[in-house]
Amino acid sequence: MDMNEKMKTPRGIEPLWNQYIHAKASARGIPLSGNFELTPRCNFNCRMCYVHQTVRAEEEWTAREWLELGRVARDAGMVFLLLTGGEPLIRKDFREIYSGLKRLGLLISINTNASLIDPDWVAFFKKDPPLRMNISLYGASDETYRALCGQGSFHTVAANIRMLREAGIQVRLNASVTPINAKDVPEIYRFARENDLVVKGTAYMFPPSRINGGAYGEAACRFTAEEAAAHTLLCREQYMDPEQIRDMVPTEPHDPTEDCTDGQGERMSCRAGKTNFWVTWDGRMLPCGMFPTDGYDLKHMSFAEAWEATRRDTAAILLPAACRECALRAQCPLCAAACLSETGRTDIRPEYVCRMTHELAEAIRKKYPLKEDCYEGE
Amino acid sequence: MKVNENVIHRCVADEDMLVPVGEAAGEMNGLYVLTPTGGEIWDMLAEGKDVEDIVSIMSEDYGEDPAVIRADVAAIIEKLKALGLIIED
Repeated sequence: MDMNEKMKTPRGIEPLWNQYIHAKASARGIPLSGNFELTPRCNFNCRMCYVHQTVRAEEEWTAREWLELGRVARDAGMVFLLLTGGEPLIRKDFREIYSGLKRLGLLISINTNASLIDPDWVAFFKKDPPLRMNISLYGASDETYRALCGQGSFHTVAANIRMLREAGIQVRLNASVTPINAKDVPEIYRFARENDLVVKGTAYMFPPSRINGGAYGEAACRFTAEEAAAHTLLCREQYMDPEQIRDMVPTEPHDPTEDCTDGQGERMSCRAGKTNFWVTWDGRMLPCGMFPTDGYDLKHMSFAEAWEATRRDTAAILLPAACRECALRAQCPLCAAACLSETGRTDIRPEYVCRMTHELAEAIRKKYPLKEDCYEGE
Repeated sequence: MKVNENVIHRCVADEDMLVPVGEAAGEMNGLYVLTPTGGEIWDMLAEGKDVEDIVSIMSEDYGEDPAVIRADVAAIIEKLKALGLIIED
């Protein structure tokens, strides 16, 4: 098997088994997947970030505290762990934390902007590789990086991604699309194709409600709902064919006024608070990192107590009743965290998200109309 | 013959899995799932028991002919060896 062929092989985890073990863990209340937000510090200053804050390193949990939390969570059933930030590699003790957590028998992924990677980091990860590195790609030029992230690092990041790939490290790209880097979308996807990588682009930016003092729905660096819809379509056009794009929306135009219902909203359908948990840089457990809630402080309660409380809270969450019967529900990024970030409540329909989803469906219907002759004479 | 020390046996939600760590993680594909009896065999190998010890214990536990058990144990050990999860001394 040549290296390129090997790269295409999903590393280790069989998707069906992954679903199976998460379903089983969910039924038993096992915290199978954790996220450790090791730091809010970052060498970038991205304008849409929901975590980045300037704190002194001493204010963060120590390596010893993270390793102890890892041990306790492992004993409770954690198998999958994402190390994130901020920029996790900015921590001087990252290697100590990473290697210690790996020795616990965890499958670790890392979120990084990849700008700090150098040959020494690559050698380190080659020796004891993560399951995957999720790398945020913020544009396709140094200029765009400078405008969005405050540092013109594209060429450095691109070289580092290639270096990691050559070392056999699994990489996935994430692209947050904002008004500042929107023009780079085709180039971002081209970079991914050229490097045989998958990129997940998203034009919906959560309001950074965790760090903006509870100003729900306010986001300094995002599109209007209509522009977000247009750029979501633009992202899809980079890797989907017209039929696939068209098949993602119901055939009939949808009247949003028909969505009103007096019934109860649906419950959360994601893994947050069922098998997944997030621990913030200052040691608070949340169901997921996008929740702008206080969570449970692990300095004042045990992991088991915090997990039980998180499970209990998320099981009680109801999403907006108005969204339950919506014909576009399957296409909508609505979730409890989005509702909270947009409105401060889980049961109020976030107008921005609703408008974006309906605009997207309409834009797809207009640009990719059904071919009537497909249904005649055959 | 012994278990690869860079492979950790986890049992979560009654599922037995082997997680390679350290340099082993670079050579193997992420995670391997064992049947419950595979997990028992792994644990006995990790304790230093040899094949005949394992056959004797399992034939008693399961009330099965030792010859049948021996064939099954040999088959799983071969698979684990092929994957580098078990190595020769």
